[in-house]
Amino acid sequence: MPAAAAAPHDPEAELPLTPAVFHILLALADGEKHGYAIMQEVKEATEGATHLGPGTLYGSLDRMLKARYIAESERRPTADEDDERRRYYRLTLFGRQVLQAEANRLARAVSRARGKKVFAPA
Amino acid sequence: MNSESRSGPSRLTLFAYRVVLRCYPATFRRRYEAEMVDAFREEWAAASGKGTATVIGYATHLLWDIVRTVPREWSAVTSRAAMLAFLAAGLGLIYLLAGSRPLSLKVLGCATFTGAIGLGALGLMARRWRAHLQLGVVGLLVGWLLASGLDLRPHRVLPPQGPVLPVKDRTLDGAEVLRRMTAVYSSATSYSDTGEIQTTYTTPFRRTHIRTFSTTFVRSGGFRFEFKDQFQRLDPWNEYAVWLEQGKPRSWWTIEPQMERPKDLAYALAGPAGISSNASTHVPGLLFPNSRIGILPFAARRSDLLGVESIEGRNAYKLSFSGERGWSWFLWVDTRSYLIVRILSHHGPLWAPAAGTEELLIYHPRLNISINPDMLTFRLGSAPTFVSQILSGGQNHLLFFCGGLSLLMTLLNVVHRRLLVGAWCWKKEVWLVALGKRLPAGALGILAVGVGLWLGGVELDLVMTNNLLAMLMMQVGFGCYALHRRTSGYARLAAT
Repeated sequence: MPAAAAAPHDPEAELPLTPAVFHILLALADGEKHGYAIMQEVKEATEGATHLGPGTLYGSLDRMLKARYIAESERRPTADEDDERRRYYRLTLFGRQVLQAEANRLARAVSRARGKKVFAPA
Repeated sequence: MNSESRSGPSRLTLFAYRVVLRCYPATFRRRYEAEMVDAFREEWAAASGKGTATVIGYATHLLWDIVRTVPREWSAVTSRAAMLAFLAAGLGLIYLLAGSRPLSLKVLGCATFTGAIGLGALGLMARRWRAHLQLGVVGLLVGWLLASGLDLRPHRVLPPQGPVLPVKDRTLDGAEVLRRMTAVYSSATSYSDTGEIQTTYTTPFRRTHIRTFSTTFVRSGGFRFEFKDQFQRLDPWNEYAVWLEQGKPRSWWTIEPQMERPKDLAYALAGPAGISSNASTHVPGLLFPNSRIGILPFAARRSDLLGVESIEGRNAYKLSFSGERGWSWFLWVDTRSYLIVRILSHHGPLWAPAAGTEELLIYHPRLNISINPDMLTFRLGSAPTFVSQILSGGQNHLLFFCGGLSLLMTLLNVVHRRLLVGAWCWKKEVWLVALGKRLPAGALGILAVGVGLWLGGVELDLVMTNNLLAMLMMQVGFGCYALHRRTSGYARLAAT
């Protein structure tokens, strides 16, 4: 991931993503979330296999903001909905393209693995 | 999950976490600290609801996360110049550690100290001074703590001593032990020893300087005493030798590398007496009782036989000698051979007898043995040259680097007419150049150099003096440059 991309370019050039970035993008795929919610979703979705620490999460978010994968949401939650101090993040169009490209890449890899009967029978 | 069993982190835990977050760069912290603390609070509460083991697991995970991500965030805000400085500091650290035996925290501390200054200064020059200054200050504090206060090694490199047992022969007293000891040495047909001198300074912090010596003697006319010392930890060893050549005394010292012809043996052995903590005169004075070398300087005082102590597997009489206020001596004499195995002296200032210097001489003596003639001769060494000193490695490389850097800075500043104070340091000589339009800054620089010289020469460990001097010179140069650039925070730090 470039430290500070001037403008989004070919999503394929961004691949492969680190597991942390991929999981964060995936967590934001169905709507904007704040940092802690992203952390929780990643942990639950991976059944605890990927537990993002605060340093990893916010470091990744910082780089993803600079790379324009994500943006801070302009919508502020109401006080009864959530803590107003929290920043919400949403996927940008470019971020969604990068996520799709990475998901496709992984799907192809899984397909190849399946063709070679790598998976153990259920 | 039962929400009632959940409890958030205590105020102390939160405080500790906030302190740890200070490891991140300020820009990152300002942006994300509040959210990171919120996340920490929630995660901690969730973990605490599942038991102590989960909390410990989460704390470990958190710590690992910090260890992994702090360097990454710093690398994101660090300029190339500072990265180069960091690399240089790292190489310097490896160089110091690899070349230093034994490794001590003091060396590590000084290396960190140097690295911190270099990093802070170059970061400043790369105009990202806030972040690097912060890192520099942290490194400097850590380095200083390591260098001065956290020397965890036992200050005396000796195995633990056993208890002092009473002497079985009640008729024996200190004077009698000394008499028998003197008789053994004065009647010895041959003698040899190897030994170590451990000088432990207790102020401003405890540190031990170790040197070695050896004595070889044949009553029929052969004698050689050798003493080896390192002025600085990475320097080559300096050697002082005194020997007899056809009955005539000769001496040689690396510092003044030419064979001297002293008028007598006493005069020759007096040369290294001070630097060898009198190892050059103690035993030789007993071996040559009719010479003017003199015997143990404290032996004329009243002695007390304290008992028998086990020293490295052999029993030795332990004698104490009373001296003037602030002085004390202990002597250990082998109970079978009556040879000296250890001498301990304590020199304390009158106003603080507990402080001061301890000198321990450790002897491994052998009496009436066959002496190889080669052990009685001395092969003259060659004088170290300016170039050979540089090529021989050791601390000279570091000094040359520091000196060269300071000189380069001086020249650059002269060219750009920005010079306030420049300094070039080589060995114990320091050249200063003080120019510039701004007298107050120049005066501050000169004052800092003066204080640095005083600290380097008086208060700090001699082993590291030149290193510290070189660092101080660099610091003053960078500090004054910073002052010139009106970034007075670093200038004040450098001057301090």
